[in-house]
Amino acid sequence: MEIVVRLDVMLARRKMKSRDLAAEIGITEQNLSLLKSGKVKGIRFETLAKICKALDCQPGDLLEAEEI
Amino acid sequence: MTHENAVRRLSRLLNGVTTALMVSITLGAVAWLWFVPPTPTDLQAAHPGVAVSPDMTTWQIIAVVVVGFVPLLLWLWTLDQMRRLFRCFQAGLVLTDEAAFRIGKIGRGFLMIGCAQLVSMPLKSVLVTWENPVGMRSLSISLSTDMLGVFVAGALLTVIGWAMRDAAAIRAENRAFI
Repeated sequence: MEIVVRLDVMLARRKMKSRDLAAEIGITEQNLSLLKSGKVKGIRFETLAKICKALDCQPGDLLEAEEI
Repeated sequence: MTHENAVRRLSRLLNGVTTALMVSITLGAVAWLWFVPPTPTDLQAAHPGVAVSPDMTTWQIIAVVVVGFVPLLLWLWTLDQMRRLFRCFQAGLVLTDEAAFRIGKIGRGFLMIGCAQLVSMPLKSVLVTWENPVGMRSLSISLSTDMLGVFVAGALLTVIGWAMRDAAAIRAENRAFI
């Protein structure tokens, strides 16, 4: 089982650009891109909380457990 | 609060100091050998308490100089490691594997200097008294507080080097978190 980041789905739902989200939560677009592609070891609770606040969603809306 | 700017500034200065030291030690040693080739009289002055033979051969004098230069060469190698470490720090690469590796090497350099000093004195004492009649030859073994200081500093830096490697690995892992 692996954890998949569904950030791109939430961004599309909220009609928000990656650049705007990155600026709002204070991380680089490069890091946000890595997060979207799942090429990171983990996400800090602090960052997750900021994303949830910016996108008005719950952590469960962004993360999903998927069978490999 | 970090000390990044202070580290960069001081490292730039220390990089210059270590480079200047390396150059001046090398030039000084070469000039000393070139202009003032050591004689048994000089060796007697450098080894008080040891009955230096006045009949030393040129090869024995060369051997004493070579043995005496081993700790100096190790100092130069250690200074070079310090110079490379300061260059890392100057570039802002503080908590990195490279910096930790250099600190460990500096520690090992100090340990080797301590060992070389411990071994070179007895060797030199045998070489400078070899031509003396039986009973006048000597083997001088000494352990000074300076040597102990070098050993302690070497051991300390070796341990810090290991700890820094762990810290650098943790930092690298932490950077993979967003």
